[in-house]
Amino acid sequence: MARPEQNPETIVSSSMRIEGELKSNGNIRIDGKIKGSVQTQADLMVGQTAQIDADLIASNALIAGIVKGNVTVKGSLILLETAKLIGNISCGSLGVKEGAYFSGACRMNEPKQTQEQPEQ
Amino acid sequence: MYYYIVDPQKISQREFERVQNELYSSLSLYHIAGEVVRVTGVRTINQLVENAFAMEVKTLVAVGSDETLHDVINAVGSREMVIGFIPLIKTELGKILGIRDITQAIKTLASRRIAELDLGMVNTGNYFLGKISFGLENNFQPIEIKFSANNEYQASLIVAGGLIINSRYDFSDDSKITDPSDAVLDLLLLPKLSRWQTFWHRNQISSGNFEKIPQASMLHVKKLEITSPVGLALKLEGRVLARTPATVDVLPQALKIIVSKERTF
Repeated sequence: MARPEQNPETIVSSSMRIEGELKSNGNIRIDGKIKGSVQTQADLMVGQTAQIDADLIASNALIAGIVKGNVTVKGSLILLETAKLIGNISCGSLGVKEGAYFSGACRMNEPKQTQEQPEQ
Repeated sequence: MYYYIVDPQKISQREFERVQNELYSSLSLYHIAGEVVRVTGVRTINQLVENAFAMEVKTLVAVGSDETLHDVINAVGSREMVIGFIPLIKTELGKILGIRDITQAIKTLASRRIAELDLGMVNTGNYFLGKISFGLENNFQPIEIKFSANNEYQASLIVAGGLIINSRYDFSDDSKITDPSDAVLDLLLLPKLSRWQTFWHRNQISSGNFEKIPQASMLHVKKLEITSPVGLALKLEGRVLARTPATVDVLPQALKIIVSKERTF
């Protein structure tokens, strides 16, 4: 997973409040408050100070703040120690650090079967 | 036909005469001679641009500073015209367009590589190629700003100031903020800073690299409506272009301008 905290194209700082649909083609880092929805084709980083009341859609996501809403990611979703997620998850892979809070349903994409090459 | 509008406001009379001589000799050398007119107190850039349209000029060249180029762009407005630029001093827009000095600018004009760049537009008819600033005054007195973006979301926060960037010159850059052909405006918001933080980040503040300052916000928008505070000055090159409430739009590929192969985008 890329590290959106290192090269964010959109940054919502901790003092910012947003209501509505935040869409981006690039990485997003959120440290502020958002109500509505967040959608990116790239990676999403939810910082420790973030308070999000929104559905999140991203390629990969790293969550350290509070999220109330459904999270849909194609790739990996990582909940850090300080994360609090209330909502359903759909993801390719999931990592949960000790101390993270999660309440909701989780659906993961089945891993693709690797086809073995027939021996010559 | 080329029509050169020379604006000597940022240079001395002596320097202007030297520049004028260099200009005349180089223009004929590269076969791009045309009418050269000088901005004075009674012949404004607006009037000279109207003269150019009346003469059915095909290429209008701003000779002067970034302010001169912006004045020419605004005087042309939404009308069809190819614009060239000869910077008389080192300018940010010159660097972005890949034009360092008079000699290279003239070679660039002669090579006639035309790029279609985005223009920012504040309210109706106030265009900018570079960046608009607001706040950043009175010792960075904090202001509470409210705006909507792309008609999709509303945002509010307390800032010391901000920049609305169509293009910016940056040495280092791995970011896309500098690109005047990406059809988006980049909104950088500088957080409220302590005196110590202001001193510590003075280089980033003066160069407009707010995104490198912790707690700064960065958004990419096609349309921005600043609703509050009322009366906040939106400045271009230090001059007040409009006051809030104001709408800022991006007009993709609205400017036809001659650029060098050394341009930054």
